[in-house]
Amino acid sequence: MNKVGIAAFGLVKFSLEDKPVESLLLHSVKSLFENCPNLTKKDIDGVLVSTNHNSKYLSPILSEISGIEPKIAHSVENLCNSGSNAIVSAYSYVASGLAESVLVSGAERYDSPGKILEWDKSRGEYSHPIYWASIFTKSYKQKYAVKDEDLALVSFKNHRQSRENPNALQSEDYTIEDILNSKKVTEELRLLECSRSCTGGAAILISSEKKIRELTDCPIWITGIGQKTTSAGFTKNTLFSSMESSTIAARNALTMANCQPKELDVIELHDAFSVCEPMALESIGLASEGKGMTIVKEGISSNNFKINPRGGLIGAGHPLGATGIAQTIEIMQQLQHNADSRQVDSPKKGLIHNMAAASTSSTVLVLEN
Amino acid sequence: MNIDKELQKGHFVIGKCTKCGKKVWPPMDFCDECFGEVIMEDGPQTGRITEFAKKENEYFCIIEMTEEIRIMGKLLSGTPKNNQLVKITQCGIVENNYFFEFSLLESANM
Repeated sequence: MNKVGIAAFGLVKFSLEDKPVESLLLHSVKSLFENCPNLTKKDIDGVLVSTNHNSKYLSPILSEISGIEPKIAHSVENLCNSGSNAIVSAYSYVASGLAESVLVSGAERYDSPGKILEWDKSRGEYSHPIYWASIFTKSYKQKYAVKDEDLALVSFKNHRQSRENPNALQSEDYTIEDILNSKKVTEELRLLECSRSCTGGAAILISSEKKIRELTDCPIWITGIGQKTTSAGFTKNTLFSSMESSTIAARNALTMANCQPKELDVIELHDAFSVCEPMALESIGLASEGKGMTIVKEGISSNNFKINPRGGLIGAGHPLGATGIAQTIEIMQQLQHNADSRQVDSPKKGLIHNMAAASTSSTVLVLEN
Repeated sequence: MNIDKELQKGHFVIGKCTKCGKKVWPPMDFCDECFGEVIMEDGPQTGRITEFAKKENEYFCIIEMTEEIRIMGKLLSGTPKNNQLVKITQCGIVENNYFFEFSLLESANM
Protein backbone atom coordinates (compact mmCIF):
# COMPACT_ATOMS: atom_id res chain seq x y z
CA MET A 1 0.00 0.00 0.00
CA ASN A 2 1.09 3.55 -0.66
CA LYS A 3 2.15 5.68 2.31
CA VAL A 4 -0.68 7.98 3.42
CA GLY A 5 -0.64 10.95 5.73
CA ILE A 6 -2.35 14.12 6.86
CA ALA A 7 -1.43 17.32 5.07
CA ALA A 8 -3.73 19.93 6.63
CA PHE A 9 -6.60 20.56 9.01
CA GLY A 10 -9.36 23.07 9.76
CA LEU A 11 -11.48 23.53 12.87
CA VAL A 12 -14.68 25.34 13.81
CA LYS A 13 -15.10 26.21 17.48
CA PHE A 14 -17.54 23.89 19.25
CA SER A 15 -20.63 25.71 20.51
CA LEU A 16 -24.37 25.47 20.99
CA GLU A 17 -25.07 27.83 18.09
CA ASP A 18 -27.97 27.28 15.72
CA LYS A 19 -26.06 27.09 12.41
CA PRO A 20 -26.89 25.21 9.19
CA VAL A 21 -24.75 22.11 8.75
CA GLU A 22 -23.69 23.34 5.29
CA SER A 23 -22.27 26.48 6.90
CA LEU A 24 -20.33 24.44 9.46
CA LEU A 25 -18.84 22.27 6.73
CA LEU A 26 -17.85 25.32 4.70
CA HIS A 27 -16.24 27.03 7.69
CA SER A 28 -14.14 23.94 8.40
CA VAL A 29 -12.93 23.83 4.80
CA LYS A 30 -12.14 27.57 4.75
CA SER A 31 -10.11 27.07 7.93
CA LEU A 32 -8.22 24.17 6.31
CA PHE A 33 -7.29 26.23 3.23
CA GLU A 34 -6.12 29.06 5.47
CA ASN A 35 -3.89 26.62 7.35
CA CYS A 36 -2.36 25.23 4.14
CA PRO A 37 -1.35 28.07 1.79
CA ASN A 38 0.16 25.71 -0.82
CA LEU A 39 -3.11 23.85 -1.32
CA THR A 40 -5.22 24.58 -4.40
CA LYS A 41 -8.76 23.38 -5.06
CA LYS A 42 -7.51 21.40 -8.07
CA ASP A 43 -5.37 19.31 -5.69
CA ILE A 44 -8.49 17.74 -4.19
CA ASP A 45 -9.64 14.50 -5.82
CA GLY A 46 -12.25 13.55 -3.24
CA VAL A 47 -14.63 15.27 -0.80
CA LEU A 48 -16.14 13.15 1.97
CA VAL A 49 -18.66 14.52 4.45
CA SER A 50 -19.10 12.98 7.86
CA THR A 51 -22.34 13.78 9.65
CA ASN A 52 -25.50 12.34 11.18
CA HIS A 53 -27.51 15.25 9.81
CA ASN A 54 -30.49 14.22 7.70
CA SER A 55 -29.68 16.46 4.72
CA LYS A 56 -28.99 14.66 1.47
CA TYR A 57 -25.88 14.79 -0.79
CA LEU A 58 -23.95 17.11 1.47
CA SER A 59 -20.66 16.24 -0.16
CA PRO A 60 -21.64 17.59 -3.61
CA ILE A 61 -23.14 20.60 -1.82
CA LEU A 62 -19.92 21.24 0.09
CA SER A 63 -17.93 20.77 -3.11
CA GLU A 64 -20.05 23.33 -4.97
CA ILE A 65 -20.00 25.97 -2.25
CA SER A 66 -16.23 25.49 -1.82
CA GLY A 67 -15.55 25.67 -5.56
CA ILE A 68 -14.18 22.14 -5.75
CA GLU A 69 -14.98 19.65 -8.53
CA PRO A 70 -13.85 16.32 -7.08
CA LYS A 71 -13.77 12.91 -8.71
CA ILE A 72 -15.18 11.32 -5.56
CA ALA A 73 -17.94 12.88 -3.46
CA HIS A 74 -20.14 11.16 -0.90
CA SER A 75 -21.17 11.10 2.76
CA VAL A 76 -20.03 8.69 5.48
CA GLU A 77 -22.28 8.02 8.46
CA ASN A 78 -21.77 5.66 11.35
CA LEU A 79 -23.15 7.57 14.33
CA CYS A 80 -20.48 8.83 16.73
CA ASN A 81 -17.53 7.37 14.81
CA SER A 82 -18.58 8.75 11.44
CA GLY A 83 -15.52 11.01 11.42
CA SER A 84 -12.90 8.31 11.83
CA ASN A 85 -14.78 6.09 9.36
CA ALA A 86 -14.59 8.91 6.82
CA ILE A 87 -10.84 9.22 7.45
CA VAL A 88 -10.41 5.49 6.85
CA SER A 89 -12.41 5.78 3.61
CA ALA A 90 -10.19 8.66 2.50
CA TYR A 91 -7.09 6.66 3.46
CA SER A 92 -8.33 3.79 1.29
CA TYR A 93 -8.85 5.99 -1.75
CA VAL A 94 -5.34 7.42 -1.41
CA ALA A 95 -3.59 4.16 -0.51
CA SER A 96 -5.16 2.43 -3.52
CA GLY A 97 -4.05 5.19 -5.87
CA LEU A 98 -7.58 6.25 -6.79
CA ALA A 99 -6.89 9.69 -5.32
CA GLU A 100 -3.89 11.82 -4.38
CA SER A 101 -5.74 13.98 -1.86
CA VAL A 102 -9.13 13.57 -0.19
CA LEU A 103 -10.76 16.29 1.87
CA VAL A 104 -12.76 15.00 4.83
CA SER A 105 -15.14 17.44 6.50
CA GLY A 106 -17.32 16.54 9.47
CA ALA A 107 -20.03 18.66 11.02
CA GLU A 108 -22.92 18.34 13.39
CA ARG A 109 -25.54 20.48 15.05
CA TYR A 110 -26.39 20.38 18.75
CA ASP A 111 -29.74 18.78 17.86
CA SER A 112 -28.21 15.87 15.94
CA PRO A 113 -30.56 12.96 15.19
CA GLY A 114 -27.61 10.61 15.70
CA LYS A 115 -28.11 10.43 19.46
CA ILE A 116 -31.08 8.09 19.27
CA LEU A 117 -30.77 4.66 17.71
CA GLU A 118 -34.25 4.09 16.35
CA TRP A 119 -33.56 0.64 14.91
CA ASP A 120 -32.37 -0.84 18.20
CA LYS A 121 -35.80 -1.79 19.54
CA SER A 122 -34.30 -4.23 22.06
CA ARG A 123 -33.56 -1.21 24.23
CA GLY A 124 -37.28 -0.64 24.62
CA GLU A 125 -38.02 2.84 25.89
CA TYR A 126 -34.37 3.26 27.02
CA SER A 127 -33.11 4.56 23.68
CA HIS A 128 -31.06 7.54 24.93
CA PRO A 129 -27.30 6.92 25.33
CA ILE A 130 -27.49 7.72 29.05
CA TYR A 131 -29.06 4.30 29.64
CA TRP A 132 -26.36 2.15 28.04
CA ALA A 133 -23.77 4.32 29.77
CA SER A 134 -25.49 3.76 33.12
CA ILE A 135 -25.47 0.01 32.55
CA PHE A 136 -21.74 0.15 31.67
CA THR A 137 -21.00 2.28 34.72
CA LYS A 138 -22.92 0.07 37.13
CA SER A 139 -21.27 -3.07 35.75
CA TYR A 140 -17.73 -1.62 35.73
CA LYS A 141 -18.00 -0.16 39.23
CA GLN A 142 -19.33 -3.37 40.69
CA LYS A 143 -16.88 -5.70 38.96
CA TYR A 144 -13.76 -3.69 39.80
CA ALA A 145 -14.82 -1.99 43.04
CA VAL A 146 -14.52 1.45 41.46
CA LYS A 147 -16.19 4.31 43.33
CA ASP A 148 -18.08 7.39 42.13
CA GLU A 149 -15.19 9.50 43.45
CA ASP A 150 -12.79 7.59 41.17
CA LEU A 151 -14.83 8.04 38.00
CA ALA A 152 -15.37 11.72 38.78
CA LEU A 153 -11.61 12.12 38.25
CA VAL A 154 -12.08 11.52 34.52
CA SER A 155 -14.41 14.53 34.26
CA PHE A 156 -12.19 16.58 36.55
CA LYS A 157 -9.15 15.92 34.34
CA ASN A 158 -10.90 16.40 31.01
CA HIS A 159 -12.71 19.58 31.99
CA ARG A 160 -9.41 20.95 33.32
CA GLN A 161 -7.60 20.07 30.09
CA SER A 162 -10.35 21.55 27.92
CA ARG A 163 -9.49 24.94 29.40
CA GLU A 164 -6.36 24.88 27.25
CA ASN A 165 -8.37 24.07 24.11
CA PRO A 166 -9.56 27.26 22.39
CA ASN A 167 -12.09 25.28 20.32
CA ALA A 168 -13.73 23.52 23.26
CA LEU A 169 -17.41 23.92 24.07
CA GLN A 170 -16.67 24.37 27.75
CA SER A 171 -13.80 26.04 29.50
CA GLU A 172 -14.91 25.83 33.09
CA ASP A 173 -12.84 24.25 35.82
CA TYR A 174 -14.80 21.91 38.06
CA THR A 175 -13.75 20.43 41.37
CA ILE A 176 -14.40 16.81 42.25
CA GLU A 177 -17.13 18.07 44.57
CA ASP A 178 -18.75 20.05 41.72
CA ILE A 179 -18.85 16.90 39.64
CA LEU A 180 -20.18 14.67 42.41
CA ASN A 181 -22.78 17.29 43.34
CA SER A 182 -23.93 17.93 39.78
CA LYS A 183 -27.40 16.76 38.80
CA LYS A 184 -27.89 13.01 38.91
CA VAL A 185 -29.12 12.05 35.46
CA THR A 186 -29.35 8.45 36.63
CA GLU A 187 -28.21 6.80 39.84
CA GLU A 188 -24.89 6.00 38.13
CA LEU A 189 -24.15 9.17 36.17
CA ARG A 190 -24.05 12.84 36.96
CA LEU A 191 -24.45 15.61 34.41
CA LEU A 192 -20.77 16.63 34.53
CA GLU A 193 -19.73 13.06 33.74
CA CYS A 194 -21.50 13.15 30.38
CA SER A 195 -20.32 14.60 27.08
CA ARG A 196 -22.69 17.07 25.51
CA SER A 197 -23.94 17.05 21.93
CA CYS A 198 -22.95 20.32 20.35
CA THR A 199 -22.47 22.26 17.16
CA GLY A 200 -19.06 22.01 15.51
CA GLY A 201 -17.01 21.23 12.45
CA ALA A 202 -13.62 19.81 11.58
CA ALA A 203 -11.80 19.14 8.32
CA ILE A 204 -8.70 17.20 7.42
CA LEU A 205 -6.79 16.54 4.21
CA ILE A 206 -5.60 12.98 3.62
CA SER A 207 -2.86 12.80 0.98
CA SER A 208 -0.32 10.57 -0.71
CA GLU A 209 3.35 10.86 0.25
CA LYS A 210 4.15 12.71 -2.98
CA LYS A 211 1.38 15.25 -2.48
CA ILE A 212 1.92 15.66 1.24
CA ARG A 213 5.56 16.65 0.70
CA GLU A 214 4.40 19.39 -1.67
CA LEU A 215 1.94 20.75 0.88
CA THR A 216 3.68 20.66 4.25
CA ASP A 217 7.05 20.44 5.97
CA CYS A 218 5.48 18.61 8.92
CA PRO A 219 3.78 15.51 7.54
CA ILE A 220 1.98 13.18 9.91
CA TRP A 221 1.57 9.58 8.76
CA ILE A 222 -1.30 7.21 9.35
CA THR A 223 0.51 3.98 10.21
CA GLY A 224 -2.20 1.91 11.86
CA ILE A 225 -5.93 1.39 11.31
CA GLY A 226 -8.22 -0.99 13.17
CA GLN A 227 -11.98 -1.21 12.92
CA LYS A 228 -14.52 -3.60 14.38
CA THR A 229 -18.31 -3.77 14.52
CA THR A 230 -19.73 -6.50 16.74
CA SER A 231 -23.44 -5.67 16.33
CA ALA A 232 -25.95 -2.85 15.95
CA GLY A 233 -27.90 -3.63 19.11
CA PHE A 234 -26.69 -2.72 22.58
CA THR A 235 -28.18 -5.82 24.18
CA LYS A 236 -26.05 -8.05 21.93
CA ASN A 237 -23.12 -7.13 24.18
CA THR A 238 -22.32 -10.05 26.46
CA LEU A 239 -20.13 -7.99 28.79
CA PHE A 240 -20.88 -4.49 30.01
CA SER A 241 -17.62 -3.94 31.88
CA SER A 242 -15.38 -3.97 28.80
CA MET A 243 -15.58 -2.85 25.17
CA GLU A 244 -15.00 -5.75 22.81
CA SER A 245 -15.04 -3.84 19.52
CA SER A 246 -12.53 -1.32 20.89
CA THR A 247 -10.19 -4.09 22.07
CA ILE A 248 -10.19 -5.73 18.63
CA ALA A 249 -9.83 -2.45 16.73
CA ALA A 250 -6.95 -1.32 18.95
CA ARG A 251 -5.12 -4.63 18.61
CA ASN A 252 -5.43 -4.52 14.81
CA ALA A 253 -4.32 -0.88 14.57
CA LEU A 254 -1.30 -1.43 16.82
CA THR A 255 -0.33 -4.58 14.91
CA MET A 256 -0.53 -2.73 11.59
CA ALA A 257 1.64 0.05 13.02
CA ASN A 258 4.04 -2.46 14.61
CA CYS A 259 3.59 -0.52 17.82
CA GLN A 260 3.29 -1.56 21.47
CA PRO A 261 0.80 0.32 23.70
CA LYS A 262 3.66 1.56 25.90
CA GLU A 263 5.20 3.33 22.88
CA LEU A 264 2.19 5.65 22.58
CA ASP A 265 3.00 9.19 23.66
CA VAL A 266 -0.40 10.85 23.31
CA ILE A 267 -3.92 9.46 23.05
CA GLU A 268 -7.40 10.73 22.21
CA LEU A 269 -10.12 8.49 23.69
CA HIS A 270 -13.87 8.46 23.13
CA ASP A 271 -14.97 9.47 26.66
CA ALA A 272 -18.66 9.90 25.82
CA PHE A 273 -19.23 9.21 29.53
CA SER A 274 -16.66 9.08 32.33
CA VAL A 275 -16.55 5.27 32.54
CA CYS A 276 -15.58 5.04 28.86
CA GLU A 277 -12.10 6.44 29.55
CA PRO A 278 -10.78 3.69 31.87
CA MET A 279 -12.54 1.07 29.74
CA ALA A 280 -10.85 2.43 26.59
CA LEU A 281 -7.44 2.53 28.30
CA GLU A 282 -7.91 -1.15 29.09
CA SER A 283 -9.06 -1.93 25.54
CA ILE A 284 -5.93 -0.35 24.09
CA GLY A 285 -3.75 -2.41 26.42
CA LEU A 286 -2.38 0.48 28.46
CA ALA A 287 -3.90 -0.96 31.62
CA SER A 288 -5.01 -4.41 32.70
CA GLU A 289 -8.70 -5.15 33.29
CA GLY A 290 -10.19 -2.87 35.92
CA LYS A 291 -6.99 -0.79 36.26
CA GLY A 292 -7.71 2.00 33.77
CA MET A 293 -8.24 4.55 36.52
CA THR A 294 -4.58 4.15 37.54
CA ILE A 295 -3.55 5.95 34.36
CA VAL A 296 -6.15 8.68 34.82
CA LYS A 297 -4.85 9.29 38.36
CA GLU A 298 -1.23 9.37 37.14
CA GLY A 299 -2.19 11.97 34.53
CA ILE A 300 -3.76 14.18 37.19
CA SER A 301 -0.93 13.88 39.70
CA SER A 302 1.74 14.64 37.11
CA ASN A 303 -0.36 17.25 35.24
CA ASN A 304 0.39 15.26 32.12
CA PHE A 305 -1.88 15.88 29.10
CA LYS A 306 -1.11 12.49 27.54
CA ILE A 307 -4.71 11.24 27.69
CA ASN A 308 -7.34 13.39 25.97
CA PRO A 309 -5.23 16.55 25.78
CA ARG A 310 -7.98 18.68 24.19
CA GLY A 311 -10.34 17.73 27.04
CA GLY A 312 -11.96 14.68 25.49
CA LEU A 313 -15.62 14.61 24.56
CA ILE A 314 -16.59 15.52 28.13
CA GLY A 315 -14.60 18.74 28.10
CA ALA A 316 -14.49 19.70 24.42
CA GLY A 317 -18.05 18.69 23.49
CA HIS A 318 -19.33 16.06 21.08
CA PRO A 319 -20.46 17.19 17.60
CA LEU A 320 -20.93 13.60 16.47
CA GLY A 321 -19.80 13.71 12.84
CA ALA A 322 -16.88 16.04 13.63
CA THR A 323 -15.61 14.29 16.77
CA GLY A 324 -13.36 11.64 15.20
CA ILE A 325 -11.83 14.27 12.91
CA ALA A 326 -11.24 16.71 15.78
CA GLN A 327 -9.60 13.92 17.79
CA THR A 328 -7.32 13.15 14.84
CA ILE A 329 -6.44 16.84 14.41
CA GLU A 330 -5.43 17.00 18.08
CA ILE A 331 -3.03 14.09 17.70
CA MET A 332 -1.73 15.64 14.47
CA GLN A 333 -1.02 18.94 16.25
CA GLN A 334 0.62 17.12 19.15
CA LEU A 335 2.92 15.18 16.80
CA GLN A 336 3.78 18.43 14.99
CA HIS A 337 4.69 19.95 18.39
CA ASN A 338 2.08 22.58 17.69
CA ALA A 339 -0.41 22.07 20.52
CA ASP A 340 0.48 25.17 22.53
CA SER A 341 -0.23 24.79 26.26
CA ARG A 342 -1.64 21.28 25.71
CA GLN A 343 1.63 20.00 24.25
CA VAL A 344 3.02 16.74 25.66
CA ASP A 345 6.78 16.17 25.68
CA SER A 346 8.28 15.24 22.28
CA PRO A 347 5.63 12.79 21.09
CA LYS A 348 6.46 10.37 18.26
CA LYS A 349 3.39 8.15 18.19
CA GLY A 350 -0.24 8.89 18.95
CA LEU A 351 -3.52 7.00 18.93
CA ILE A 352 -7.16 7.92 18.28
CA HIS A 353 -10.05 5.84 19.65
CA ASN A 354 -13.49 6.75 18.28
CA MET A 355 -16.54 4.56 18.86
CA ALA A 356 -20.26 4.39 18.26
CA ALA A 357 -23.50 2.82 19.44
CA ALA A 358 -22.52 1.76 22.95
CA SER A 359 -19.13 0.57 21.75
CA THR A 360 -20.60 -1.96 19.36
CA SER A 361 -18.48 -0.27 16.68
CA SER A 362 -14.96 1.16 17.09
CA THR A 363 -12.24 2.74 14.99
CA VAL A 364 -8.65 3.11 16.16
CA LEU A 365 -5.96 5.03 14.27
CA VAL A 366 -2.22 5.22 14.96
CA LEU A 367 -0.36 8.33 13.77
CA GLU A 368 3.39 8.99 13.64
CA ASN A 369 5.54 11.96 12.77
CA MET B 1 -43.19 -10.14 9.21
CA ASN B 2 -44.63 -7.47 11.42
CA ILE B 3 -43.55 -7.64 15.02
CA ASP B 4 -45.04 -4.19 15.63
CA LYS B 5 -48.60 -5.42 15.06
CA GLU B 6 -48.13 -8.16 17.66
CA LEU B 7 -46.40 -5.86 20.15
CA GLN B 8 -49.19 -3.33 19.79
CA LYS B 9 -51.49 -6.06 21.05
CA GLY B 10 -49.15 -6.64 24.01
CA HIS B 11 -47.92 -9.91 22.51
CA PHE B 12 -44.16 -10.60 22.72
CA VAL B 13 -43.05 -12.52 19.66
CA ILE B 14 -39.67 -13.60 18.36
CA GLY B 15 -38.41 -15.00 15.06
CA LYS B 16 -37.52 -18.63 14.40
CA CYS B 17 -35.57 -19.87 11.39
CA THR B 18 -37.49 -22.53 9.44
CA LYS B 19 -34.20 -23.99 8.20
CA CYS B 20 -31.84 -24.18 11.19
CA GLY B 21 -34.24 -23.45 14.06
CA LYS B 22 -32.26 -20.49 15.40
CA LYS B 23 -34.19 -17.92 17.43
CA VAL B 24 -33.84 -14.54 15.73
CA TRP B 25 -34.15 -11.28 17.61
CA PRO B 26 -35.21 -8.78 16.52
CA PRO B 27 -37.24 -10.79 13.99
CA MET B 28 -36.16 -10.20 10.39
CA ASP B 29 -37.13 -11.80 7.09
CA PHE B 30 -34.15 -14.17 7.06
CA CYS B 31 -31.94 -15.92 9.62
CA ASP B 32 -28.65 -14.17 10.43
CA GLU B 33 -26.96 -17.59 10.57
CA CYS B 34 -28.13 -19.42 7.41
CA PHE B 35 -30.46 -16.95 5.59
CA GLY B 36 -33.30 -19.40 6.08
CA GLU B 37 -36.83 -17.99 6.15
CA VAL B 38 -37.89 -16.70 9.54
CA ILE B 39 -41.37 -17.08 10.97
CA MET B 40 -42.78 -15.49 14.11
CA GLU B 41 -43.59 -17.49 17.18
CA ASP B 42 -44.56 -16.73 20.76
CA GLY B 43 -41.59 -15.40 22.68
CA PRO B 44 -40.44 -16.63 26.08
CA GLN B 45 -42.15 -14.91 28.98
CA THR B 46 -39.31 -15.18 31.49
CA GLY B 47 -35.63 -14.29 31.61
CA ARG B 48 -32.76 -13.57 33.95
CA ILE B 49 -31.39 -10.14 34.77
CA THR B 50 -27.91 -9.72 33.27
CA GLU B 51 -27.43 -6.11 34.39
CA PHE B 52 -29.45 -3.21 35.72
CA ALA B 53 -29.22 0.43 36.76
CA LYS B 54 -31.54 2.99 38.30
CA LYS B 55 -33.06 6.34 37.41
CA GLU B 56 -34.81 8.13 40.26
CA ASN B 57 -36.92 5.40 41.85
CA GLU B 58 -37.09 3.19 38.81
CA TYR B 59 -34.84 0.27 37.92
CA PHE B 60 -34.19 -0.60 34.29
CA CYS B 61 -32.78 -4.01 33.45
CA ILE B 62 -31.38 -6.05 30.62
CA ILE B 63 -32.84 -9.52 30.76
CA GLU B 64 -31.61 -12.58 28.89
CA MET B 65 -34.36 -14.91 27.73
CA THR B 66 -32.23 -17.19 25.56
CA GLU B 67 -28.63 -16.84 24.41
CA GLU B 68 -29.81 -14.78 21.41
CA ILE B 69 -32.58 -12.74 22.99
CA ARG B 70 -31.93 -9.90 25.40
CA ILE B 71 -34.27 -6.98 25.95
CA MET B 72 -34.20 -3.89 28.11
CA GLY B 73 -37.14 -2.78 30.19
CA LYS B 74 -38.50 -1.44 33.43
CA LEU B 75 -38.76 -3.40 36.68
CA LEU B 76 -42.18 -2.64 38.12
CA SER B 77 -41.35 -3.29 41.77
CA GLY B 78 -38.72 -4.74 44.07
CA THR B 79 -34.93 -4.54 44.13
CA PRO B 80 -33.14 -6.38 41.34
CA LYS B 81 -30.05 -8.54 41.51
CA ASN B 82 -28.05 -9.98 38.65
CA ASN B 83 -29.21 -13.45 37.55
CA GLN B 84 -32.63 -13.04 39.17
CA LEU B 85 -35.56 -14.57 37.30
CA VAL B 86 -38.19 -12.13 35.99
CA LYS B 87 -41.27 -12.40 33.81
CA ILE B 88 -42.61 -9.99 31.21
CA THR B 89 -45.64 -8.34 32.76
CA GLN B 90 -46.43 -6.06 29.87
CA CYS B 91 -45.02 -5.03 26.50
CA GLY B 92 -46.17 -2.78 23.73
CA ILE B 93 -45.46 0.33 21.68
CA VAL B 94 -45.90 3.89 22.92
CA GLU B 95 -45.01 6.92 20.80
CA ASN B 96 -43.18 4.70 18.32
CA ASN B 97 -41.00 3.17 21.06
CA TYR B 98 -41.15 -0.42 22.20
CA PHE B 99 -41.51 -0.91 25.94
CA PHE B 100 -41.10 -3.92 28.19
CA GLU B 101 -42.07 -4.21 31.85
CA PHE B 102 -40.88 -6.95 34.16
CA SER B 103 -41.68 -8.27 37.61
CA LEU B 104 -39.50 -10.39 39.85
CA LEU B 105 -40.18 -14.11 40.15
CA GLU B 106 -37.47 -14.70 42.77
CA SER B 107 -36.52 -12.77 45.87
CA ALA B 108 -33.22 -10.89 46.04
CA ASN B 109 -32.00 -13.26 48.76
CA MET B 110 -31.85 -16.31 46.53
